[in-house]
Amino acid sequence: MTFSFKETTHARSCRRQAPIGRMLTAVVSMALLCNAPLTAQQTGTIQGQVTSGTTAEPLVGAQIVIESSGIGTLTDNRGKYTLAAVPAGQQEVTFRIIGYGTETRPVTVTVGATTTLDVQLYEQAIEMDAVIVTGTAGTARRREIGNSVAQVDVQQIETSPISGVSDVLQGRVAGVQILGNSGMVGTGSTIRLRGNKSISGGNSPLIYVDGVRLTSRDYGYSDEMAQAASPLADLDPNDIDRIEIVKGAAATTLYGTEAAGGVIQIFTKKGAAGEPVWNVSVDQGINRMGHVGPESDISGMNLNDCTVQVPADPTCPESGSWLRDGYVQRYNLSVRGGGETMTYYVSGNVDSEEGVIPTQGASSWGARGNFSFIPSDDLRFQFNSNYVRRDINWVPDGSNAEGFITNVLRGDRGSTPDNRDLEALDLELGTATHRFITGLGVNWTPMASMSHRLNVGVDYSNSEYTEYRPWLFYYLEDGNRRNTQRTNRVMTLDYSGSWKTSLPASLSSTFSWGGQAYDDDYVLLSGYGEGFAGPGDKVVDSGARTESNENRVHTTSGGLFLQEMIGWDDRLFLTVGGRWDGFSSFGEDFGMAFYPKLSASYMISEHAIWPEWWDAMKLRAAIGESGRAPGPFDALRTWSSVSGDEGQPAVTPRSVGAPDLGPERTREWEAGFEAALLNGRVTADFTYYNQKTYDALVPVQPMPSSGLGVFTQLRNVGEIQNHGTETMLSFIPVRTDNVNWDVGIRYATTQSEVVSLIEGLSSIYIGWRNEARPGFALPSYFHNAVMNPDAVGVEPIIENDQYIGPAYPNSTWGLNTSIALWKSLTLTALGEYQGGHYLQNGTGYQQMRRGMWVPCQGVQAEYEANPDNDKFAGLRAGDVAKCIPDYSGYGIWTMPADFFKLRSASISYQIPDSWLGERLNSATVTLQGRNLLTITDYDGLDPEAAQDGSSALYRMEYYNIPPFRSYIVNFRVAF
Amino acid sequence: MTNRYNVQPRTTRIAVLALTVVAMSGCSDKLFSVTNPGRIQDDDLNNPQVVDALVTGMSHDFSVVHDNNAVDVAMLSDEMAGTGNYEETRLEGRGIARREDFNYNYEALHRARWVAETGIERMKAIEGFTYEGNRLSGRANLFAGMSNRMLGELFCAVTYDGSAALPKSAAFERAIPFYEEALHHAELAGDQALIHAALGGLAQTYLALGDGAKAAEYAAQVPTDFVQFALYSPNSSDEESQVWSYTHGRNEMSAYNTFAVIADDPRAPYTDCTDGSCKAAESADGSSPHYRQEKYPEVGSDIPVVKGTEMRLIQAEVAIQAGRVDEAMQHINEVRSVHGLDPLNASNAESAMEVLKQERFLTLWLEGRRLFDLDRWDDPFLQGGTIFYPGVAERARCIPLPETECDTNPKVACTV
Repeated sequence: MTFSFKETTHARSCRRQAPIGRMLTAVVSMALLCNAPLTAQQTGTIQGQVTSGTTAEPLVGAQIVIESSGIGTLTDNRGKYTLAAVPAGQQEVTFRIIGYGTETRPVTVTVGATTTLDVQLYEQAIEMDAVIVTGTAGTARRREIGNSVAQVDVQQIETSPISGVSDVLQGRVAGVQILGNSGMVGTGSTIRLRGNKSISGGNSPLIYVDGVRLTSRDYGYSDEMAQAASPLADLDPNDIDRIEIVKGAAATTLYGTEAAGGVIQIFTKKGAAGEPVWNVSVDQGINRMGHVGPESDISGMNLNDCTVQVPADPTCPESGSWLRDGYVQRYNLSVRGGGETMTYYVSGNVDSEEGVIPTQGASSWGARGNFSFIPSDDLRFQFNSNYVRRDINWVPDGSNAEGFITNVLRGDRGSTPDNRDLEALDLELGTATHRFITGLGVNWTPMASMSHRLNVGVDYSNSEYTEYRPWLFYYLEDGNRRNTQRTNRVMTLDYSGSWKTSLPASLSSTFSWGGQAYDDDYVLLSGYGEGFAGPGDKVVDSGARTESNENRVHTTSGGLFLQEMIGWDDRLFLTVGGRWDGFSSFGEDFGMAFYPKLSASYMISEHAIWPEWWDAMKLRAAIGESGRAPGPFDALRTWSSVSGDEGQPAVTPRSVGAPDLGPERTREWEAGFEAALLNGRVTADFTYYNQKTYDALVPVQPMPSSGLGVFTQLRNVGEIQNHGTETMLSFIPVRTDNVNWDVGIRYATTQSEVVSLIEGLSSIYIGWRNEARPGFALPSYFHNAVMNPDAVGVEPIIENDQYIGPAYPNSTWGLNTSIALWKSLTLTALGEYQGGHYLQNGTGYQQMRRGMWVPCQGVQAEYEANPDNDKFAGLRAGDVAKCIPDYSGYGIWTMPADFFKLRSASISYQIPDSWLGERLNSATVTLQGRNLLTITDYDGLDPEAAQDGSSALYRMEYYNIPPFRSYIVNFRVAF
Repeated sequence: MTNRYNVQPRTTRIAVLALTVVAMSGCSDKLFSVTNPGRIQDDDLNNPQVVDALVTGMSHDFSVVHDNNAVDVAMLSDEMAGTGNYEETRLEGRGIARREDFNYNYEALHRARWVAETGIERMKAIEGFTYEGNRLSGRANLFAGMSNRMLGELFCAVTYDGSAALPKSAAFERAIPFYEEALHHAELAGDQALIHAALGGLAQTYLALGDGAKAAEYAAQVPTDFVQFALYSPNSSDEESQVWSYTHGRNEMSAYNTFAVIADDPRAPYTDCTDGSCKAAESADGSSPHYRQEKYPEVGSDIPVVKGTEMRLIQAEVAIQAGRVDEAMQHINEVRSVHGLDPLNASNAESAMEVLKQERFLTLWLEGRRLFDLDRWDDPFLQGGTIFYPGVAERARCIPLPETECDTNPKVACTV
């Protein structure tokens, strides 16, 4: 059955009636309130199936509601529904699911009879009645929200190659910037929402899963691998239902302190009524590295081809290359089903992924159980639990004399003995993690006008980092071993309530209140032993000398919020709210923090004069504040116990302290619009935002001559500004029964500027020539630069301390398209551009200094051949500055790193039902590729490769394994 | 429909508001109060039983920076060639001392000073601790003296607690009373080693101040075989010697082309790594031959701070200045005999001074003292001497006030 778009218009005109009633109806349907009691003599039944108009896949969990009577239900796990006891006569049935356009269909119900009504829904990026819970008090419809909210419905990108949550977000949401960092499997990505706004407090967003806050800590960075594993990667993308993103302080006020970097909330799949439906997903594929380094270096810097170097590497593998095709295999099995009062979604996964360097790779397995218990119409319990076990084997990498590619690229000038680079892989580095996330959510709707929501949850993680140099290891003959155990428990207690009332003059009121408490407990235990007596596997205390560390950090925080939203005629909404926050790491003189918010949204399209072809248009504006807390010891003057005089107990100063220390605050205002046109075939979302982080936590250095200058003292003194635009445009050029072609464009700009630090402080050194300086982006590169690059035959003029450029991209483009043919063949592609930033090619600089950077060898030979009294003859000063060690420097090797990458492409075929037999519901086979193409003028290993990756604010490339390509075949079967 | 529930929202609202008021009141302090173990609160140090750890901490804080200073002095002076991968080491090898490369040296040396000086005041005030005549009081004053003396020796100018830039002599003059008080407590406590260390410190400081007579007077009281060390240990990474790390661990500086190689003296031992006897034949710059120092062959090798042999050389230098060449050579040869070396002769003050300079090079090799010696003597090496890299026109003769002091101290204008 096909659907006439005219009915959407009808639905809109229907919504213009009785706004409060419609709001209440929405609440009713959300809470799964079902049938009003009516006698069978007056009623009939409607049943049918809701499917995707693009792929014909059944849509599970779609809401079906007859707004006039409040009758509603959800589709079951096969997309089927039954509305019983529907009053006889003409009815309007509305179908709604996140990520798809809402449809309203007329149907005539006959007494005592069953009417079939199948509906196909089409994807639509913006739907004004979609329910949103992130950044709101309780739930809210998109039309009511004055700030921008991005949603990613993972069902829509099921055919894309996704290996983690960051892949889901990459290139798909304007204002979400994701940098890949490394080609080691297991590496965390750098995630920024609207850029950097904190010098010392971290800039990553808060992550929630089903209302439970996740840890904000990495699984431990180490110098040896120069990367850190990301806890975000523990979530199996197969379990994700949708993701909501609120990007700035205007939207995150109700999250209080810690939310200045934005909030990403992930919702996992829930059960659905019906017989169990099983889903199996199998990935098989390879990770492959292309040519490494400059094209003119035919050996790929000894990585692609290790046979041609002189002197030879006796450990060069038989294949002639250090690179391999890493085998990728992922298996996921899930089942969902249930009855009226209990539904379930249970899944398990086993993954194994090899990296492109021998010994590198990761494996994991996990299990999830999401259970819903609905004892009555007004009460719902949701219990979600997820356990994941993950093992990552790293190779030594980055700024590290023992680094594998450092030694391979440097040939016989590396640190491995006799150029035996395989021995670098004898250094074993591993991260093993256990992760358990569990939460209980309770929704109680004692009446249509009032709701309560309670979430209690815990994110527990334990990671074990091991670093093992065996006995007779080339770099440390006696060997050593380090074992670091990190245990982190983040507990969430979150309550909110709201009460809706009708007021005179088409006004409505939604009053909300609530509070959250978080308890973060972190324990680090580290043991170290060195000096092994002989061969064999070792533990820490096998060492002749041992050392241990214990670090315990406990923070508590919490706050209360109040919010009032006044609506007028379901088209204008004004929201005012505030949050009071306490935090254990605030200074003892500080007290509590208060964050206010104010927002407005206006559905201008609700006016009768609005053109029919323009489905919906919302104007919105919001202003709000959020914060970021100092560290647990920053407010205190403390001393540390250390060892002095060869093992005697001693004390040494540790922190300066500041009793009045409070959070840094980000105040943001944003304004924009959301629009849907031509029956949802064109949607647009535009936002301008302007953030000012004041009372910024700036590490201020006391005067060295005061005796405490070796420390920094965190103080609330700085100001940082970010502003930019976010544009999302989706359109569907072709939509017929057999062809659906959609295109999405996302464009975002982020202009960051450090406005001030503290009087007299001109710069804060972030690391690796990245600095925070007033007047420049946070962070920016400052170092040496050649002032006469195009002069020929003269000595280069090198000036130090020159501004080079920002270290983070200030503009990003995301382009995606998908074409679905005959509801069975789907082609997708996603490209992303990031630009405006610079990256230091530390690899190139160091290789050049060793005469091993092929593009420099010509200049170096010419320089050597020139007579001593005319060394620069025929040479560009810029080339001399870059290629001759006496003149060169890191600044000269810091260059624009704009890039375009084809992040993913796929072709998917849904096997026709007629081939499946009775037992299978659906089967799909998909060919997927990731990072298939990179276009850049950056001449280092990769414009995304970065030392210390997700754990650092600075960016720098220095012998970091670049990201690789992946080719995957995915089989997906439902039965 | 809503009438039945009219009471409940109002009640809830009142409850919410009441909860808000409670939370915003003083209760919040306790609600969000946690205690984290591991760190020591400042007030907890006011305990007589902590003084031992406090003074050991002074030793720790001095040692933590002294090895760094020894590394930088080695490369800035003619002791070692800067042959490293780090930009700073290559610049220092060329005699270039950028302000930004010496922030830590100044900050950490001032920390050592501050910890000792404020520790002394704390010790005086701690109830139950007897300051007068206590060996620990003597040690604390010794570390205060040593830190101030090193500030003066290393830096071209000094500042204290945000003062304007002061001449080196201000640091030396500040060191003197600490040494004197160290001597006072050491004598009362009968601690002979502490007495010799304090006397040696006074000799070094008066020599730096140009008061040869007093320097020689104090030096004469220290026996030749006395050594006081800054202590290092493999016990913890904090206690590891950076001199070892820069030469055995990372090959950042090399004895190649230095006087140590020419002299072939037991006081300046090294290994020629080009014969394959080390992990790498080259230094970290990828091209320079690595000649590895062996004076500190272990990560825990201690670095001398006061030595009786230096005292003899102080006496010798003062004697040369007074024209007493024979006496000077007698002191010098006493030092040489300690190391099993044949005596040397000098016919006049000029040649005796040349011998003395070489003897100080070898005796105090890699102890963080050479740059100040070159500065005191206005040694020609500072005029553009070269070891390995092309020398700049004029090498740094001392370390400039570092960038962080320039940036944070409004009374200092680092314009040059």
